[in-house]
Amino acid sequence: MLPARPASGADGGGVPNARSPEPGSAPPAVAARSLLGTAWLRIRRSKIALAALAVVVLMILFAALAPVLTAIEGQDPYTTRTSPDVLDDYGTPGLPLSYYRYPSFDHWLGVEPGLGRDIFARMAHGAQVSLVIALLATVVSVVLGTVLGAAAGYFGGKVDMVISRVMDLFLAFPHLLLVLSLTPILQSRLGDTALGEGSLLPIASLVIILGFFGWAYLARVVRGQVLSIREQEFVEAARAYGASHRSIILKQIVPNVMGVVLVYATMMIPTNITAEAALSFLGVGVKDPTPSWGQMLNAAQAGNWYLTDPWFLAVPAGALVITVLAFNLLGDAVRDALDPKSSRG
Amino acid sequence: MNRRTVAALALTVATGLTLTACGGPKPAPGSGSRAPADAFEPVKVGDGDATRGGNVNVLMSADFQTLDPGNSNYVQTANVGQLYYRTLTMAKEEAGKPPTIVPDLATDLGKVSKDGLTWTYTLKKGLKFEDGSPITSKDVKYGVERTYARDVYTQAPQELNAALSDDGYKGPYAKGAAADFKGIETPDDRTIVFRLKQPFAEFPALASRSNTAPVPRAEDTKLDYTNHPVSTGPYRIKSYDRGRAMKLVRNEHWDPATDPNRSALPDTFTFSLSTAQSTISQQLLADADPTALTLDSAGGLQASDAAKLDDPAVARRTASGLIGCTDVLDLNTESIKDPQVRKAIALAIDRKAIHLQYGGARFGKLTQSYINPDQRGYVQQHTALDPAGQPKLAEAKKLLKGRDVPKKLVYGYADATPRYKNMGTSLQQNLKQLGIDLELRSIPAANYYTTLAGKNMPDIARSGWCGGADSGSVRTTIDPNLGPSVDGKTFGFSNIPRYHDPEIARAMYALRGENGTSEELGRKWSTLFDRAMQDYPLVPLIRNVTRSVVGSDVRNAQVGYFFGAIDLSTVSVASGSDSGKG
Amino acid sequence: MIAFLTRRLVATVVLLAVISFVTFTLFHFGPADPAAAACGQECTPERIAEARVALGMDKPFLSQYLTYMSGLFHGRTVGAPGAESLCQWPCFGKSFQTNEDVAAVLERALPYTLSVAVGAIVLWTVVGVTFGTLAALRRNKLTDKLIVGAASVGVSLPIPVTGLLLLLVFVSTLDVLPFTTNAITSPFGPAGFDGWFLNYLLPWVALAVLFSAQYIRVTRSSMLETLGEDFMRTARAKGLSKAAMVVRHGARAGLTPVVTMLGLDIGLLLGGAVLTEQIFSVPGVGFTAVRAAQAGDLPLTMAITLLAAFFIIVANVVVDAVYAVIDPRVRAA
Repeated sequence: MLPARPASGADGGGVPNARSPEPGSAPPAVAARSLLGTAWLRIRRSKIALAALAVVVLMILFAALAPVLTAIEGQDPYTTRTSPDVLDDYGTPGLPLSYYRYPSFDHWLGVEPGLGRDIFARMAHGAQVSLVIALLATVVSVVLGTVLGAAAGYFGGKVDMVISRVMDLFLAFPHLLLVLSLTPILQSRLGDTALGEGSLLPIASLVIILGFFGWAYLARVVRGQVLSIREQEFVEAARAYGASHRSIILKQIVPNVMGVVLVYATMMIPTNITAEAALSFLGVGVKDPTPSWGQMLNAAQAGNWYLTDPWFLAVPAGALVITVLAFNLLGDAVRDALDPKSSRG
Repeated sequence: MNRRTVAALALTVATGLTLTACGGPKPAPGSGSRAPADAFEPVKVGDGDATRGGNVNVLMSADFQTLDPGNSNYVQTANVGQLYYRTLTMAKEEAGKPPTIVPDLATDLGKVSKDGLTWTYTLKKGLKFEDGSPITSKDVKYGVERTYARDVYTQAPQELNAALSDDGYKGPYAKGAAADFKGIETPDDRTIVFRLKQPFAEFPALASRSNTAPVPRAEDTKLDYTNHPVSTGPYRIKSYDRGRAMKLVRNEHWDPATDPNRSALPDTFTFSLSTAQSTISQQLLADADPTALTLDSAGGLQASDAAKLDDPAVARRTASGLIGCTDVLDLNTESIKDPQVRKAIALAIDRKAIHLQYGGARFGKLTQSYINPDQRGYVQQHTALDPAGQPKLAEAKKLLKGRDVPKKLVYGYADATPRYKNMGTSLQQNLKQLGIDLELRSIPAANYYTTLAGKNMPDIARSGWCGGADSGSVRTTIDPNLGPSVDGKTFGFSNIPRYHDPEIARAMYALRGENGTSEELGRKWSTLFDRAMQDYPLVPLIRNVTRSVVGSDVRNAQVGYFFGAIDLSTVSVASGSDSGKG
Repeated sequence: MIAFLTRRLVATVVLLAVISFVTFTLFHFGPADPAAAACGQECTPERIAEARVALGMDKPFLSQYLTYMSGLFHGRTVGAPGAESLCQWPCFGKSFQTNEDVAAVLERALPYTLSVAVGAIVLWTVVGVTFGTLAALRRNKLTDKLIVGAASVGVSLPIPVTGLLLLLVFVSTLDVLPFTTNAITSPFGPAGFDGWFLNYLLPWVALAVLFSAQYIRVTRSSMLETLGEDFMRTARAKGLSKAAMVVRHGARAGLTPVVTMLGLDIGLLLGGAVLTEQIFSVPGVGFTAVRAAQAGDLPLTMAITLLAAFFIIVANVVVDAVYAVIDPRVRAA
């Protein structure tokens, strides 16, 4: 019943969801075989898209190699240094020489005020945590959204009605508020299970929460796509030949919605990175000592440290903005590539 | 538990001087503050100024939990309460020292019977409520009765009630036999007699708790009483817009002749409620409002503000002093059973790093004991901890040789405060040196102490104590925190380590029933405490210091030992600053 | 039309009822024990038991839900037997922290949220539509590329980053703007329009950076589509100037998606801009929600969730209705 659009951005009750692409720009079905190929051909032509792709790939590599890089640096994200030669009487690193505050040979990005931990090591390991959460949450949303949306569209009738009403419900909830109050609840529920071990707990709970709240919009779009595909001739023909549901879904429907799914998935990733940052920033997501970019923002704001030590804020903020920007530009490029109509021509 | 209960102080010579200094030259702003010889010496701002009038603007980051004296267990509300309600006795603050108990509504500190089981108070003459009607002993008794209705007033202070006889009483709203209170008698309109279960040398301090603030039965609006408690003090509530602002104006039925404890110099007090804490600290540091001050803990200052306190212009406006609150690390003696292992953990802790998380020497002093020499009954305490807070790793490792050392422990912290989390991060590093893996577990701040008292108590946790019902006496720190358990299985709410030693427990039980002065009984408590502490159920960390920056026109500002903030009963503003806001 | 609206309204009421039930269930079976939260710091088992009775938690789940819902419509009494106090309509219960009517807490928070929302919405709509149109008109020129580029950066700036950066630069370093105060809730108060404006300027900018970028994108692409349509070509052929064309024809057709988006965003923002309010310490609905969540103040959290859902749903219905007026085909859907 609702012409709902996902929460448009990072505030106002509802963070986690993919941004909507411009109106009327839902990509048409593209055959799966050529999907990635087509996309790549088009992306290759745009310098911006190539740069964005490069940054994304580099950032993923950076996160994957975090332990190696910090080993080369000779540091780790957890060791505290509170001796007077590192932190002065105010808890700020290395005044008056500020050796420890800013990049140096020993500490590539300086150390934290208060605890004296290595900022580079935390940033690199934080990249791992932030990206893993965003990617896994996206996978959860995409799987849920595609399966439920396709089921609703394909089977229609009661199945469609039930799934559609559930989608309405999810879209009407103020996501951020709910996530804010539900995450601690989920964390204490998971606390007794295998997922409740140490740093796994906040990661697992964020993946579940963000993934679970992010599927509805994609499902709606997939449902629309499937509705139109179902009526097309090649599907009718397959049905006439007596093909099973299973075979029609796998061979006809799924390949044809892959385009739309791919577009939304690329757009969901930066949204989920932002959502993780927002929740950890508010203190309900990833918690110290586990680093993530949101947790680092939280630490910078705690005690107003960022006012006296802006560098402490700059590192996670910079990493976050660059990554989100790269994913967004890549998302735009993928959308444009799969939907010539919306291209910037 | 971080609850700091009320206690009091003797009328000092300084207060007398304040009153006579009216005609003298006005001190220049901040002339009262002086550079202290010792970093922890109390500093007052504008001491001795006797200007009457003006408005004090109190900035607070949150609304009052309650203004109802019968439902108030918070230092902040007790501090504000001094302005609009009076109690039988009063905890009078003097910066840097535990408050002295002085008579308030009563003529003296109470007359005790030989057996120590009856305390009798007489009300002063001419006491009135804000509507001019007289205050009688019945109103005081009714005030105490209300605090027995714990199902209604969940924050009602219970120290006084626990000492009185008649445990079956359920408060004035209950029906039947449970509604007839036998713990207090009022033979006439000015006499109140308390009947105790056991002798309690610190009873005058209990009588200073907000329980004894008179409440007229006819005006009791139960939970809504918080919106307009009937005043008995120098000010009354003119308006209270919850969550935004409160204004206090003079109560013309308050007679200064009956009240030597409150200078009541300003004409009005305004309270700006729920101003953001960062806004408060910035406004105060910048002197945006010369009549402003705050009641927020730690003066509303953020960790990063510490450097600004050294600016001479700010230092001149900063009142400071050690307060009664001490933070410790509790070691769960049920999960870490071996005292030698606990001692090793205590020695391995880098207390200096923890000190830094509190903001260093500006906000706290490393302490070797939960009790301090300013308290009555203190005797020398012994500990192997390094006074400078450095870890003694070698010694700790030696202690652990051949012992059953836990592989993994859990540290629980209240999630709203970054400092407690940082403390855990530091501990994690220390315990790693002993081969112990420490997991940090956040606990919702609202349920923190309940969790510590329950079955989910982690192995290590921080807690704080501000001296208890009589912060001037060691007893009200020792008894609640390491007090005796009957069977070694059930513990008082505040015995977070669940410490139990049968011999010490027996001795403490005996001590509870003993009759004597607070001083001599206190020494016995201290000796037992020192013995218990050799088993390291807890590790003393930090005596808190409050630094509170005030506006440039604020005078007579001192940090209360018990309130942990500017004492509102003495504060005033210099002339010419009539910025009273509607 | 009337039938359409009736249908929508009925569906809305059903949806709200379902949401209230789901929310109540979620919180009810959460691990945060409301009784423990309500009874404060020194909470012995006996006190928890007393608090359970006072909160009505000793009753079966369904009856608790029904009691709660009935309070929304005609008030009820809350508290321990013998000392009940009246919770006025609409009763969302009493806050665990201050024992105040939750409705009163929300009533106090709303003006702040409204102040943040109004300015931010005006700012981002003006910026978004202006630059979006400009980009469409200058398609593929440098102006267009700059605007589109800026929008790409804008949508990639998370609120915590923008917010802290604004505070660091304009409040702490340059000292040209004040830290927000809670004394100002409207432009008509004693602080005047100027005071209100300066107090909320930074929160507006923080939100507007993110949202304008999205509005620029939507306006641009929808304008491009409209400009390419037949009636626009006809208009141009008739010799209308480009500006007149955009204003007279383009604006109406091209801005329809913007209006839709705006309606939904208003609905979202009224539920509280959680991050913005938190960073700038504006004690609005979002700020209150964070504090309530931290303090385990269930009645408050629950009420805010319901309120925010209500705004979102109402905004959807309004947008539906507006759409139906503009485009009659929708009604049949």
